[in-house]
Amino acid sequence: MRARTRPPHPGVAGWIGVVCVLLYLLVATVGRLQGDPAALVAPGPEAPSLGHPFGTDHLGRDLLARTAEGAWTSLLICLSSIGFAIVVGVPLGVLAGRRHGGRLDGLLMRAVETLQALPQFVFVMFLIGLMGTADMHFGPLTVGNGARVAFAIGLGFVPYFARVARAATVVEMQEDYVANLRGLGVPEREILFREVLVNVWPPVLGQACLAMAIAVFAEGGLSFLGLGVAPPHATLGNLIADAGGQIIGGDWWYATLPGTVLVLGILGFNLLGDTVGGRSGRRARPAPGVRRVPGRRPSPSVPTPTPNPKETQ
Amino acid sequence: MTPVRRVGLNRRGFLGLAALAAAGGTGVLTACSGSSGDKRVADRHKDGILRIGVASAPSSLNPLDSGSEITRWIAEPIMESLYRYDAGLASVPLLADGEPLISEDGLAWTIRLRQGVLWHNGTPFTADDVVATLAHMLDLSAGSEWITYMLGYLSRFEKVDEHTVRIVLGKPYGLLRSHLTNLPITHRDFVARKDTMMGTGPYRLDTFVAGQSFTLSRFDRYHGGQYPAGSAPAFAGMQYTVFTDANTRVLSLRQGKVDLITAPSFATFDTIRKDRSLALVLTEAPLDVLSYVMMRKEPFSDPDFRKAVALSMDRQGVLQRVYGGEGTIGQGPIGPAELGWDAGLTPFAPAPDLARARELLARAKTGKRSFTVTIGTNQGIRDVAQVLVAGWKQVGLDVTIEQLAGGPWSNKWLSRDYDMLMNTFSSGFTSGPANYLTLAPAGSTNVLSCGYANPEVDRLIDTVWQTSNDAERAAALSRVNRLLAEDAVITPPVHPKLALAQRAELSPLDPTMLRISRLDPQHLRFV
Repeated sequence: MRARTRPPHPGVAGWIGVVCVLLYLLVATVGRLQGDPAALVAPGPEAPSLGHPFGTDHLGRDLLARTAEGAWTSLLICLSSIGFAIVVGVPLGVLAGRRHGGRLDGLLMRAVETLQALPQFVFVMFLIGLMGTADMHFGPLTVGNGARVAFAIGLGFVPYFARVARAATVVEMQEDYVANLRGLGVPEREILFREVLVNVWPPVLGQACLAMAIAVFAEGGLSFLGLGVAPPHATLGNLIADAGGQIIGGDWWYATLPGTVLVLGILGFNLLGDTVGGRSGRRARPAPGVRRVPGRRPSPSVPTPTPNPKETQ
Repeated sequence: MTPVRRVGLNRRGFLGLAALAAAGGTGVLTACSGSSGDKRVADRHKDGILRIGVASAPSSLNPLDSGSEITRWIAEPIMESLYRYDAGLASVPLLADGEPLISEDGLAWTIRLRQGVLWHNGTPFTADDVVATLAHMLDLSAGSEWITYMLGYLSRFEKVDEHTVRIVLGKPYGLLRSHLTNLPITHRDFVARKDTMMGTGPYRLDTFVAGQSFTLSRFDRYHGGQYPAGSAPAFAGMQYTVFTDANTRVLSLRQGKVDLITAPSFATFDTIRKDRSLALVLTEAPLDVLSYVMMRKEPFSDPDFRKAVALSMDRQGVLQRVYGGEGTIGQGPIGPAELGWDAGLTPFAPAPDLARARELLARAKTGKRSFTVTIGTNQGIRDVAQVLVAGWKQVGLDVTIEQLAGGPWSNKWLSRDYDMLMNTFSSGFTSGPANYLTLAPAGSTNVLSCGYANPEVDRLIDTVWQTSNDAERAAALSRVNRLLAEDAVITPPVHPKLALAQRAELSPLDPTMLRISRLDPQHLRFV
């Protein structure tokens, strides 16, 4: 009889994370209905009202519309950067895990560790410094700073995804089903990318949620420092940076409301990532009764890193 | 078995504590910011140090490199020129010993130098120092901003004797006296140094922390220790501290940590006005919003497009939203504090003329409806650009804002690879009350030429540079201003006022000196 599986329970923290992320997405989507975020709708800063629920900024632009644009921009940049990191990092990690202990593994892991030697935020700032913040023109194609920020953050994440994917691949490659598939003559590439990769996915997903929180933070930080998307486009970071100059005038809403949305994003994705990561970590442990191939148990020397988001900042 | 208790801080705990710390910290900071600075100021003034909060620090300390106020505000009490501005803004001798001896054709200037003047390192001031300064300025490899003002006019310069120099011009140059009044003279061994200032002024630079602070002390052997009656420097020293955030500058002033601050933002004006221990200083000064368009290429090569852009500028919006109404609506490049200002020139209304702009766009030959405006990195110019972009959007123009730091922005200007350039610039340190520098790109043969070719403008600009007659120069400036505004070549949206704030315990800043961008800190007093 097949065991009945109970739906996963995210726990209190997980639910808080879900609510925070939903609120963040709500502002990012519903706020877009508020109108043009660059339009001058008031003579100057105005406190929240029915017409402008988040008030207006120092130039008289609707702050809800700008916060929504900022949240949306942050979301796009973060998803792009994580997508880039997964596309580059996971295949590298799977290849390294497949060649565990070999030259390719050593080469890839040393390259990854070199990238990890710098704190991620410093690394991203270094990359932006190299590329500059001005638009880049490649013939008819113009690459704005948003794309470069996504690339820089994504490149900073590649080592983390590569290491998670490698660790999971090393474990999976020693499972019975891999030996059985080999015995049946299934090609190695098919085993790797059709079977193993599917099982590598859960820890990668957990890492992606944690990385999302870091990416929202990093993008906000870069924009705050003036290294992000160029004005008049809003990001949560440049909204908060601009609001800094208005605090002394008593415009409390200017920094508080976009700041709250940024906190919702960071907190929500962090708690969600924590929950998903924890669950996938539990799943990664061999279930009772699972039999491994004799003599091919995971070596104690195999690193199974679970990168701590704090160490990446 | 005793359960193991985990005492480490997990991520959730960390986040919770961080949120609490942030909330608590904000409360503490808010509480602290309200405390009075009167007692602190009284105690602090016992050391006789004038403390000034500035918005940014210069990357080079050599005032020959740049006429920017960032460098020159620090250099003011340290460096001196051959001539200086008096209370009526007339040029009078300072390091020069009397008026120059000028040949009949006006091409040879012989200048006697003051004797008994010492540099801050104790060596005497001689003609070698003036010659070294002029040579550095004209050295193409030195990268001095001043080269653009002298090249083509200065034929040669030489030391006649230990205290006399002769400057020979290739053609009449009426602005030479202005340049000699603004050009800081530097010790011969320090002309190329970017890491210190060696001057003859009443204060000398003792120490500095790059990008953070600059400490000056009184130079007791200033001009041999002989001060005119009542003009001895009042302060034992000065300290310039960099506070890049405008709020921090104002809070430091309120708390009495500094006596004077530069560039308070418009958002802080009310706070300053409400505090009786502070004074907000707003004055018309040669503070320009540089606005250039590149006419060698589309879309600004099309005069209709150019005029449509100028007509759809939201000048009133910029003035109110960015400068709190403290300034004047811009028309041409010359502002109300500058020679040649014409209050009757009004080709552009304060509010955007959208109907006329659309009409001009409809008949423009260029099909382009987009361009990039390249701006500096300061908050003010970023806000100006954002307000303008919102106005241009209403007539269907898609404008991208590109922000560049000082060096790359200047390179863009020099390379002439731009659509529209904007930045703020205080011209008082290089041209005093007559701002002819911002007109340079309108000259068809100038290295900064924006591609505008108008023989009348070229002739008038030559007159401005060559005439020694102030009335003739003012008339020429006024005419150039009108032509450039009407042809929509240089049309800044506003001419903002220079804003500063000071504590009431400090004597008031001199409004005359502020009109040429000078803080003149060496003549201030604690009261």
